[in-house]
Amino acid sequence: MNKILSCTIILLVISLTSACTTVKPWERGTLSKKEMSWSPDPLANTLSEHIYFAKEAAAGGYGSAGGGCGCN
Amino acid sequence: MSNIKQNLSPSLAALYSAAFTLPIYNKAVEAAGAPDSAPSVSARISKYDEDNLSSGDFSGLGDQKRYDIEVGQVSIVYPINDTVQLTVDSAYEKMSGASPWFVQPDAQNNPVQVMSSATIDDARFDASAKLDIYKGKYTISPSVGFSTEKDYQAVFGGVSVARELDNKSTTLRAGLAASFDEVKPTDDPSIDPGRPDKEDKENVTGFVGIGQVINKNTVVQSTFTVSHYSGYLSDPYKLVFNSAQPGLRDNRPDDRTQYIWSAQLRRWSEIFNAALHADYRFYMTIEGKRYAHILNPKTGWPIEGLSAVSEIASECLIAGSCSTVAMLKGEEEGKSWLEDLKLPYICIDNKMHIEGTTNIN
Repeated sequence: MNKILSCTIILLVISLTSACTTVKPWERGTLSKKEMSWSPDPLANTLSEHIYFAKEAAAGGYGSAGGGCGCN
Repeated sequence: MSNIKQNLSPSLAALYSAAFTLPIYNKAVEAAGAPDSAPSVSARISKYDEDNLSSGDFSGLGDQKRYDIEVGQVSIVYPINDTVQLTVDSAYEKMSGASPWFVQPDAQNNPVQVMSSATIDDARFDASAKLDIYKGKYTISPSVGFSTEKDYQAVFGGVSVARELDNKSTTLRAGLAASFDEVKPTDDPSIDPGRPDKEDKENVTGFVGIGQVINKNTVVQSTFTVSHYSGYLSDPYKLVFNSAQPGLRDNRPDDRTQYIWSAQLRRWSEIFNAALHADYRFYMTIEGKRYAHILNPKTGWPIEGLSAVSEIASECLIAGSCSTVAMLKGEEEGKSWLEDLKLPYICIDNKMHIEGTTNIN
C-alpha cells in the first residue's frame, strides 16, 4: 500500500512539474482539437463505461457517477 | 467478441428516427469555461451479441445463448444563455438471452457454468439532466437522473465544481454524487423460493481531480475517487454451489468502500496527425479483496495468487499474454507454467515474495 501511495505521489508531482510551459491562448489550437478531448465521443464513452460497470468489478473513477442497474 | 448486426428492433428504430427529426448541428469543439455557441443533438445506436458460452464451460443446464443487446442513445446540449448550459442524456436498452446462474464442478471436478433458460427479456431506460453554470473561473454542474427496468429502479444526483487556474493551464475538479437503488426480482419465485422480494442499496461517490496543460501538444488529468456502497450488494438471481448447502445464495458484504485512481494523457503527434490517448485506472477495495485489472472468466471474480508477473519475450503481445495467463492460473500452477515456458520472468505473490529467473540481464 505504501509503495502504491509513494508511486501515486511521485507521478502526481512529476505530472505537475515536468516540462510544464505556459501555453498562450493562440497556441492552443491543437489542444482544442476534438481528438484531444478526454472523451471525443461522449455517447460512446457512456456506453463503454456502462459495459465496464456491467461486466467488471472495476469501473468508474473518471469523475462522473450515475445510478446502478440490474446488470450486475 | 461482439458481432454487429444490421437489423434493429422497431422500438430502437423509432427512437433513432425521432432523434434525427430534431435539428442537428455540427458540434465543434467549444472553448472551455463557456456554453456551446449553438444547440446540438447527437444520437448513437449500438447492437451487439455476447458470445455463446463454450461447450467446455457449459454444464448442460440452462441455455448456452448469452445476451443480445441493443442500445439507443440521444444527447441534447442546449445553451440557455451566456452562462448556463443544459445537457440531457437518455438511453434505451433492450436485452434478451440467458444469464449465468452458478458454477458447479463437473464429473472431472472442473468448474462448469449453470445458466438460466433463454427467456430473459428486459428493457432499461435511463435519462439524466445536467446544468453547467459558468461563473468566472468556476463551473458548477448539478445533475439528476433515473434508470428504470422491470426489476430495478435507481435515482441519482450530484454536483461537481471545476476551478481554472494559471490562465486556464490548470483545472481543479471536485464532486459528490449519490444513487438510491431498488431491486425487485420479477421472475417466477417457484424457480428459486429463497429469492428476496425487494431490496435496497445506496451509493455515495466523491472525487477530486486535476487537469494540467503540459505544453501545446500535451495535456494530462488525474482523478482520485472514493465510492461507498451500502445495503443489498448481492445479486438476487445468483446462487453459489455448495454440496453441503444446495441453493446457497450469492451473499456479499452489505458495506463496501472502493478507491479508484485514474490518470489520462492526450498527446498530439504532428507526424501521424493524430492524438495518442493513454488512460489508466487503478482500483481496489478495503474489504481485503483486490479488484483490479484481471478477472477469472470462469468465476467472474478477481484472480487470486500472483500479484504481478513480468516476462521477457520477443514481442510485447507474447509477454503480456503469457503474464496474464500465469496470473489466471493461480500461484503454484502459474509459477510452474512460467518455468515450463523457459522465458525469463519475475513474479510477486500476495505476500510480496519475489521469484523468477535468476540470470536476467
